[in-house]
Amino acid sequence: MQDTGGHQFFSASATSGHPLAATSDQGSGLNTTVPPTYFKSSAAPPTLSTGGSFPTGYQPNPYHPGTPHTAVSGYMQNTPPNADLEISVVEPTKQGEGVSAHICYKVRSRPLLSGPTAPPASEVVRRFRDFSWLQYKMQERHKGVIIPPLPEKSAVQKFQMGTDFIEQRRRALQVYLSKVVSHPVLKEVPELNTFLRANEEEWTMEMARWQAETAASSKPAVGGAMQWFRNLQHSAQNMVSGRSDDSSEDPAYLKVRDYINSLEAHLVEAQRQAGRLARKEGELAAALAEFGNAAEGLGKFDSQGLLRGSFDILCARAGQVATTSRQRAERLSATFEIPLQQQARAIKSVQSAMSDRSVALSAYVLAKGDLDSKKLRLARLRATPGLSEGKVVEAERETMDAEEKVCITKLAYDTIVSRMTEELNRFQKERSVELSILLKELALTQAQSASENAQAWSSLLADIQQQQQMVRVA
Amino acid sequence: MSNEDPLSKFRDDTNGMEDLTAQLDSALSGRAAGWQDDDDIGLGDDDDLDTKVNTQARHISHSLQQLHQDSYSLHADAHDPLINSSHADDHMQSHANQPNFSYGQIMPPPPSYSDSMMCEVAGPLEPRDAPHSSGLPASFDPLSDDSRYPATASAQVSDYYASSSQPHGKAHDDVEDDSDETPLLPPGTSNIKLQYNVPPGSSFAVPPSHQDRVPEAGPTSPTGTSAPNVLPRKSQRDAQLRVAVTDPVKKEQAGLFGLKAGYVAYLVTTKDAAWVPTGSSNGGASAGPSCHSGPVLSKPAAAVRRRFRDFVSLSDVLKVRYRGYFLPPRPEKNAVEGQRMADTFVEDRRVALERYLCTLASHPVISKSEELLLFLQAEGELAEHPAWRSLVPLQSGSLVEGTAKLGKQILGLEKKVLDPVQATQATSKASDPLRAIKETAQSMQVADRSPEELALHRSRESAEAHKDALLAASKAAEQLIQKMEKVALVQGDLGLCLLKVAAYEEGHGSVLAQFTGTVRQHHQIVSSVKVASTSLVRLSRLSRTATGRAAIELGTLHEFLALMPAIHKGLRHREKQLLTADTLQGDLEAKQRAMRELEASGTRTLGGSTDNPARERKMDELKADASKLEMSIVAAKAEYERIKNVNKDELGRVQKEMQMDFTHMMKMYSAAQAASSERMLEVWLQAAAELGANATEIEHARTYGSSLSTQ
Repeated sequence: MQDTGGHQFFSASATSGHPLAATSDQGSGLNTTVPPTYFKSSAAPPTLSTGGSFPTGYQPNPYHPGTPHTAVSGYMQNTPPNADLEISVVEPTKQGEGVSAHICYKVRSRPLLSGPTAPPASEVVRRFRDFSWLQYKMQERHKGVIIPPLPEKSAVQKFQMGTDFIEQRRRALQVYLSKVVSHPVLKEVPELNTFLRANEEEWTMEMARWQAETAASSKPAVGGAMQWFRNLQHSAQNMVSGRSDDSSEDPAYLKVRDYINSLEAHLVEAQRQAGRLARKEGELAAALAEFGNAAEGLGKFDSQGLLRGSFDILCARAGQVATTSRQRAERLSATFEIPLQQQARAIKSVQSAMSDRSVALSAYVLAKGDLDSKKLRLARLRATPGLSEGKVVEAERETMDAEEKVCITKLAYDTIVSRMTEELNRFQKERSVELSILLKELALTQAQSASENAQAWSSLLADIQQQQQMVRVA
Repeated sequence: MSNEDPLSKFRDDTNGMEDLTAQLDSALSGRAAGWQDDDDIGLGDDDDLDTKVNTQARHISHSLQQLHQDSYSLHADAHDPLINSSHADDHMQSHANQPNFSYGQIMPPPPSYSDSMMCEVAGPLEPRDAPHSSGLPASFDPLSDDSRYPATASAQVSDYYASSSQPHGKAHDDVEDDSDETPLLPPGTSNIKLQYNVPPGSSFAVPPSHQDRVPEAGPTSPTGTSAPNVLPRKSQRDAQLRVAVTDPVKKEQAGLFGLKAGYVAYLVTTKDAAWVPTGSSNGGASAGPSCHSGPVLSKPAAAVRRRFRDFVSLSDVLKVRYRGYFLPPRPEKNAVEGQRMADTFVEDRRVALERYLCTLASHPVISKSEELLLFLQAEGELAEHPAWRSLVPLQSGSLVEGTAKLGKQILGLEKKVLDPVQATQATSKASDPLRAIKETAQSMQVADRSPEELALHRSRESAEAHKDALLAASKAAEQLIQKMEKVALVQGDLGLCLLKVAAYEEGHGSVLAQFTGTVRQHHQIVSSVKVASTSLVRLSRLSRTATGRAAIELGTLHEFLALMPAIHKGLRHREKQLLTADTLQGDLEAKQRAMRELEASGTRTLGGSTDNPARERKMDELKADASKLEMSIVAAKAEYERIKNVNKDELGRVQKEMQMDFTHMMKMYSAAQAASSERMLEVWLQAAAELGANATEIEHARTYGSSLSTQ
């Protein structure tokens, strides 16, 4: 058990280490996929003035055309400042039919800083599975790093392939990649480069290799199952060793872990309530439209026209408000519920990193225990006269092996510990910024629709009065 | 014409509205919204119809009642309305897990629901004085709306005025003259500027901060009961008679077989506006009640005790004596004995009875009827009052009697001809089955009708369709209210949930903050989540208030829906009367034919010379019958003409009332919606500012609506 734990950690990083081969081949791969206009723009030195927005790939938000500082773009602009690349995920296109149907996205990257060291711009076609490859590789390589969560893999919605869903996912993938490229550790991951730049051929090979690998090791592929497997492994180790590793863990860290674990439940609940609110607002909009229609029907019974006119206006305004409320519900979902969900999922990433840490710790603890027993045995052997020299040498060698193993596991654990302290710091900072932006956008969009509604209702009031006056004059 | 703005009033009002939400119950629960499709032409027994209508009404208004019970519970626990009110929702466990948690942990627990509303929402925002951004028209017809607000609500508002220590003229402005409204008012009810629950001459010139004294003196709560009062419809509000039903007292009475039977006696108080000297009201508005023909009550105010049985008796009397009028539905009887003494039932019934009397008192004809006036003024037990006893119809309509009569009629033992008095009365299936059968047969025949009659007949059919449209609108309104309620609830749920997050972060997040050295970020997280959650909780309350307001406004729909059966019945009365006349005409023709035949047979067989005593006798009988029938026909036709005119007047009256009330409803509804939207806008903008939105973003959001509409 102990061996597999330790081995897995190192072998994974050793075998999957992939050279930066893809970068130089970029041209051949891109020639086929990239429209000429794109090359033109990337040939010119990119300007810094574009900041965090996505002029090339940014698709105007369908919910509020013509309003530049809206919730979604605001949220997108939250790409952390230390990013070197600007990422855009665009043009989702459906590929294949039936069970094999999937969506392909164009993933564009553009350097934000010009200079000799800056990598060239690129554009590749990737599907959701490819993103999870990247996720998997990053998780394997960098234990203890809080990797941004991938958007949820929703089987039900995938089959529906609604435009809302696709757009949502496109946006989420863009956010995901933007976070990855701005992460101080992850942006150096070679697989990221492969992901961003490998041409079709290389990419196919890479994916084939990965599939072979995962099939050979017969491990659950990615994500939750992986996590579950690890946790299982860990608890099995604890059972074998008959004690918890927590005693050798930093008590302050343990508190943090408990906090994170309960925080997730809170955020999930908040997200659920946000979803409910969005749904209920949608229903309210429908009811309002219905009421408007009923009022129009009622107005038909007025022989003198006064009421009919008023009810007609009511119907029109109610329809207008219903439309804005429906949009508000959608916006609420896009700008509040989904990001909140991502926050909850980010907590899951933290938990994943924490479980990596536990695994490393228990590997270290076990190695230490092993070393102690080896040392004890060696001492006993030495104290026993009349034993063959060979046995003592053998024991000495085993002890040295065990010592080396302790060193290795300690190093691994320590790396994770120090990395995690940084990561938690970064996570906390990022989270606080994201959260306040999220809530600010919530307030702003809700204020917008309140403003719209106030406008609509007060003009209804004005219209009815005006009509009354006209009737009176007539 | 004044420059009064209903929106501003609503803005002020938002504070007092919680109490109005309580009135939602009273405003709606008494309204039986139902309809009976009366297809059995000519045979519909009225009592029968009543029960059917009421059954349906109960069915339809069941969901309404649900809603009201919800809002009851909202008010039951002022400290934790959100948790309390989420019982209707599918997700309760989140609250149940931490029952001790409430927003009170962050904000000081409010002394009362409405108080907290004032401090929190109104306090920091003060949007009343801010120029509103939505481009509302500067001038607006005042509809003397504050008369809608019962004493309790206005007291709340004025309490607030007083406590905010701001001189404020809004409440005063509200009651300006609205002479522009006059053309819409039906004749006989227009132009009265007296307020519904504010005694004239005491309030309008008084500064608003003194208004809280008004309720004690108000006519609607003379006994000081704190029960919410009924909000009359716009078109009923300026009736000359103002009736209140208050102070239900339970009484015991020896019943059958020594059992004790309880009943509830209500205090019915009436004020006659015409008794008030006009000079004393200095609001200007109430100075010219010229349309009042004079006092109808024998004294300025009357207070009597009445029990439900008396109301039934009143409605029976009116039903018989005012055929063709669209009489409002009487509150239903309740068969379940055990329920009758329950407090909630008594309260519901009190509200319903008050509404019923108010509607009667606002009717141009019924309000001056001796029956109603007797009911409102007769001292002591109504059932024992001699004048009342003379009004009550004789109890001669039993089914047993009718069956016996039918037998006699068939055997020819009883005289078969209707006398003129009977001919002007409604056919009763029970007491005179033969007449009912005859008239049913008559209704099968296609008879020539006058164009007037045809038009009225069509108007009954159109009333039918109108009823359907009203029903649809009323249901849609109900649905709308439910959804609004739901959104408010979920807003609160989300707010509470975020509040929990904030509390959790505050309590436990410091470990991470200390671990990573991000105390500043930690505080930021806590504070921004707190801002968002408190805003949401506020918003939830605002939404609920707006919902209550909308429910009150849209209640007009339910009220007219409840009136539709009465319209139907009134129009049916006319048709039935016509049928009676036609049937009598048919009878007469039959008699004349028989007379001719008798004469012919007499001349044929006996040469017309021989005296036949039997034939002579028969001839005399026929002649007597025929002349009686002729008189009856004249009486029946006269009665028909009378009912026809009543029908026409009533149709016109209802039409006018609908116009006025629906227009008013839409105005008030949209004004309330606009006001609450504006209030929500302010809350969100404040939250956005606290969450770090810059001035441009805020300005953009603020003017979002107006920028869209100008495009």
